[in-house]
Amino acid sequence: MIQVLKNLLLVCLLFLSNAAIAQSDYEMVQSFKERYSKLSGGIKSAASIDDLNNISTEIENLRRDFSEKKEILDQSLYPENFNSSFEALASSVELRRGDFTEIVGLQSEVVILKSEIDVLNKRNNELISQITVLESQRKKDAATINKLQNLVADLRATLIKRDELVLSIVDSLTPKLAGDINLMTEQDKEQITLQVQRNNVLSIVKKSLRDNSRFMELTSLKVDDIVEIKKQQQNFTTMWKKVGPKLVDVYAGKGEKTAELKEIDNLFNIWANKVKRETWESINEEFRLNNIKLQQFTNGNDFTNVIIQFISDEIKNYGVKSKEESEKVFSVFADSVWFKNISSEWMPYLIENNLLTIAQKDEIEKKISEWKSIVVPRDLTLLYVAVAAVFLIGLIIFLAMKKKKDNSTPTIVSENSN
Amino acid sequence: MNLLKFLFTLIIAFYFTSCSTLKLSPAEFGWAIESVLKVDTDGFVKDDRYSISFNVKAMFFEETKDSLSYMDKSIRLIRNNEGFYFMTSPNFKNVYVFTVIQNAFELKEKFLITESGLKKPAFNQRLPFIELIDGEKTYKLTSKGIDGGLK
Repeated sequence: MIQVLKNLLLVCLLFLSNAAIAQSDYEMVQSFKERYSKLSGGIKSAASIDDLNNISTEIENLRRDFSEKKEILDQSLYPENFNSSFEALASSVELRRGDFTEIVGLQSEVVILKSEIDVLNKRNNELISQITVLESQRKKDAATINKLQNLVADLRATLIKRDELVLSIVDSLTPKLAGDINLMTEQDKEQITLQVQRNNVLSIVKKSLRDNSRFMELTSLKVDDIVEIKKQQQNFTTMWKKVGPKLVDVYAGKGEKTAELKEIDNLFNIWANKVKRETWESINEEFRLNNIKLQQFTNGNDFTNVIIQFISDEIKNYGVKSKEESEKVFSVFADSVWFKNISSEWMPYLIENNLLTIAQKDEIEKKISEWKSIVVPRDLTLLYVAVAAVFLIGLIIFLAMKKKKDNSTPTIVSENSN
Repeated sequence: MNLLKFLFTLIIAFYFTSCSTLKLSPAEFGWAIESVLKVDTDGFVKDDRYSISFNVKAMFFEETKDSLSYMDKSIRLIRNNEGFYFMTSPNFKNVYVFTVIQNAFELKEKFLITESGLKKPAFNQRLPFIELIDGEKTYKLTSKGIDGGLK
């Protein structure tokens, strides 16, 4: 009986070995490629280090299962070969492992950043209320202005610091959003959604944008402040352009969150417009502080028109007002405001940011020259002296030549005179 | 006179030796694995790896006597060590062996494998043979025939 069983087993083994021999090399290579491709995709979509460890085990299984076919795979996987294919998988695993290590590190960092942001938010609110109180005072003495300036500088610094922290938190999402969102599994998208919610990312970004917009309304700013804010705005916008559209894709179908992302885009626009508006308001403030009252302007064309109109009115009124008053307005406008502040400080920023063209600047300065020629006419005394001197020299030369001519003419004596 | 004959023979021999065809040998042309190529609507197959493309309508017509039998089909193609191309397809009764001529494949041999037609044929390179598998059956092929021309 045992002998019969042994024989049967032998027949089965022979049958199986024949079946194994009769395998198509092509099918074997296709099967390898299929398993390889699944593992390669698995590495990209791994959601945790545990997933990655499981994939590593499967890679070892694949290597073991096909090691006997190494020779034919070396020839068939051209330009790769058996070993280089596994080296590529191993390096992908290591790279992805690095992402997870970074994510774990960033997650703990985010917790610290969040508490720092809370502290800075509180401090910002205190500063904003102090500035509001000082701004509401009608008369500002030097001490108040000084205090106000310090508070504004302090607030600006904390806002920038808070924005940097917000950027770091948003950056913590970057590794997860690095790949193609369309290739992400629903599980991956859910994880990102959870991370965004847990860290209140959208709320933090919105608060930051609102505070930055509010800061623009608090007080008038110097050109250096505006330049700094513009830079901060560019950094924020660049970061959001990298992450925002991807979050929109992740949230596709989640109406409430999509609306929140649209709101953030809208807040970016509001902030950008407020920076532009604040630039013009701060320039107007420069004139107002010197008792030059101009109409409101919110863009380069308005600004040019308002200034030209103001100068035209002053030219028209010359002679109607007292001469001293006209000269004083010109002097304050041109010397104390235009050439001292606008032309030297604001103009480079305005032109660099395409808020004003060089042609518009030239047009205004030509009008100022015209105004000057009327209000402060050129002193002509020297011209008169020069003309008189030329006339005198001419006269002397004429007389000298006449005398010489008279002396050289021979005297004709009439023969009949005697 | 004998010396002249000898010299003449020597010159003729030297001349023919110089004019003989240049050969690079030995050479091995065998592919490690077969290619499975889908026939397109115009009857062409294309193999990107080996950069070859050719029309298979005539082979399908030869096999089936049906001018449209190539539609939605695929062929199995492998090259043996000597440089001959072996082709077949599911439901073919034969394996076709081709040699390359200018811009064409020329039929060298056609081996009948089974009257009932191959169900799921596949080629393997098993030096010095090309192994044809169909289900559990295997055949050893050379450019001369099955089992080296014994069958």
